[in-house]
Amino acid sequence: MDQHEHESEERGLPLEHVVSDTSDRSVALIVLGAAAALIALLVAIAVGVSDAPLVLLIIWGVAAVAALSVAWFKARVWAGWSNPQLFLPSSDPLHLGDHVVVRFRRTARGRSGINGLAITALVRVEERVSYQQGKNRQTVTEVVYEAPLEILMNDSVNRTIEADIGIDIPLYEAPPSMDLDNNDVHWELIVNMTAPNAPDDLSSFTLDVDPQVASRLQSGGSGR
Amino acid sequence: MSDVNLSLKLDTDVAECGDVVAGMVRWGRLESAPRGVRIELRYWTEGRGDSDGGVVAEVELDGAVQGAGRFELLVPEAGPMSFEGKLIRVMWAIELIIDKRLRPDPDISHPITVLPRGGLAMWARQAATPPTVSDQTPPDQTGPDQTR
Repeated sequence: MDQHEHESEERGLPLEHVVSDTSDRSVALIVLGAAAALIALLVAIAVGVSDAPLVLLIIWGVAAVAALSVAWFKARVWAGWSNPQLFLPSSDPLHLGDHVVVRFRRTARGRSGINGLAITALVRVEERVSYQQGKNRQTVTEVVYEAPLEILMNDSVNRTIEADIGIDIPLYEAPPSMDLDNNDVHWELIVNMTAPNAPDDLSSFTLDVDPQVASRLQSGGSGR
Repeated sequence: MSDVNLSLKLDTDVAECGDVVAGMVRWGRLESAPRGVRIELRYWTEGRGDSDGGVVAEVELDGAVQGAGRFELLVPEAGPMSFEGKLIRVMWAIELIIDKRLRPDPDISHPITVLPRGGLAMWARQAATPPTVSDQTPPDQTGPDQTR
């Protein structure tokens, strides 16, 4: 347990379960895309400019430059921040009607200051379905619930940002998590950090919501 | 098949995830003893995506030209619970199947609604009707009973 976890426990939030960020997969895709475009461009040049249509070369060039720019942009963000972490009060799944406070943590790498940083968060529920259409597999996604979340505490110690986020899991407005072969319900916590003269930084965490009503509601409370 | 008499009566047609669904079945007027009598609890999805689902619990009763039996089937704790979303609809049903030799199997089914754990007590306390999927048959006052 590191120093920050001790500090967090002192503030009364038990840190039992860490959820890893799922948004950084886009970086790998972008880097792969950039590499593929560059290789295609180099192959075209090696084969001979005269053999490849000029328009194709221009498209390859533009794609390579665009993808590399985005990759550079993402790499700067990556280099600037450690992997985001989310701490849940328990490793148990969340329940319908639950109210939990989770802690978001991220540390700046080699930055002298993180002044002017603002954090916003939202919870989003998506239905995802896939179906076969001819030889292709189609996927359709629909957001069925989305709500901004309250940032209860936003603090920085040295170069570590910590924010406590209150999450209300609605009782009626969205179904619990579901993971079937072709039909899924996906719960996600999205944290956005913005700072002056720095690119926005989005982190995404999967939440597991069980088909169970929160115990506080079962024992006599009322649902939202 | 029209002279086959099947009856499926549930104690309740609303259950929670992790609960037992219980009821009574009767069958009669079969020409010969069936290979078996099966009661299945199953769910399936409808909507935009390819359908998922399957039988999650089943019980077998002895085959006879006519008979009756009580059954209990366990709804999985993980559900999925019944719901109707924008792209997905999750449906549940109890099905009585008479397994006849070399003949179409007569069957009868009754939809049920599966609520989240703790959902029944909550809805009962609020004196509200549990949410049902829209095209499911509402229970009559004496409980669900279908006879073919």
